[in-house]
Amino acid sequence: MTKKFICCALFSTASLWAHDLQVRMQQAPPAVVAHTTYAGSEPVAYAAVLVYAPGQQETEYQNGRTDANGVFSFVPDREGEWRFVVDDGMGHRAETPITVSTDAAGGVHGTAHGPMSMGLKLMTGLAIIVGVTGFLYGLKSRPR
Amino acid sequence: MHVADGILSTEISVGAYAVSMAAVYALGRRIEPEEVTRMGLLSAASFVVSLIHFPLAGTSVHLGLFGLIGILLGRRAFPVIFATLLFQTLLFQHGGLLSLGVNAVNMGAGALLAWGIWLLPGLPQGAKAFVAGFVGVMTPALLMAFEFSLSGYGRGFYYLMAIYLVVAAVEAALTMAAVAYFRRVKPGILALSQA
Repeated sequence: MTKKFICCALFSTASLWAHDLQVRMQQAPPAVVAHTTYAGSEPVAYAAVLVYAPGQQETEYQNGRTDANGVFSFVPDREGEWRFVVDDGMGHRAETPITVSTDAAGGVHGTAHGPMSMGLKLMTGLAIIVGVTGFLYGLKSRPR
Repeated sequence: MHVADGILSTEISVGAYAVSMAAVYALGRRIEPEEVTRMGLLSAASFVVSLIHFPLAGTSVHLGLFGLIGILLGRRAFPVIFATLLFQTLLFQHGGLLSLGVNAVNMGAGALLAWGIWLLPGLPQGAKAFVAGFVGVMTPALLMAFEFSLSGYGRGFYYLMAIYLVVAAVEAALTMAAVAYFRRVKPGILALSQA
């Protein structure tokens, strides 16, 4: 019972306070506004931001920092898949692809694509650890 | 606690990588099968706990269980921390692949120092656990601040240390509570790292 409680508490706490940078996009034509948070709650204030245009790998289209509320905006000049990188300088970083499209009225739309949800990443990490542990255990237990 | 890529100088990053790889090899040799399961369990625990963050002084901090890992695993703590950091880097972008060596050295040193404190004779286990948990956080913080100062970020030193004093106090209390729990339900596990 106690073990079950500890496991449940650990996982429910992880989902509440997950240590993950998240990026949510807001449409404000002609600008695209990014809201950065730790797990959807605490803003990532004054974090370094690099924005890369489609096809650009080396030189960023724009750089700067988020404001006190974790907000950063930029005005894209073309359609395609942009790359939005935010780094708080304390070892936490998120790289988010943003698809920019223009509608018939000339409005700009930016949509962020999260590669994996937090829960999926957590389960993936734990599955890898369990898998590696099982593999090593089997390897070390072989009769010589 | 994680140092991100591109912040520290190349010399420090490469040097730390060399030290960490040598330490993984030296401290991870001749592992017994029964050690593997404990290592996996503590790696999973550290992985999950590092995702629980606390907003503090305008940034975000988290626990790492370095002191507890040092107490329970002894010298095996270093390879476990290295592997856990690798998973955190790949899945959560905590730190970075280039700074993996620096982070492993910083946090691994905290765990090994905690183990050293745990082995000290003549002190109550509760006190040793508290100090080990505290040192497990403050050692990486101190090393990180030192590396930052070497790379020209000297003024951040005292600020970082002040933030991590709070984290260290929380982790020290948690380590003491965990050790008290193990003493009650499975005291043998606390003696394994002394072998």
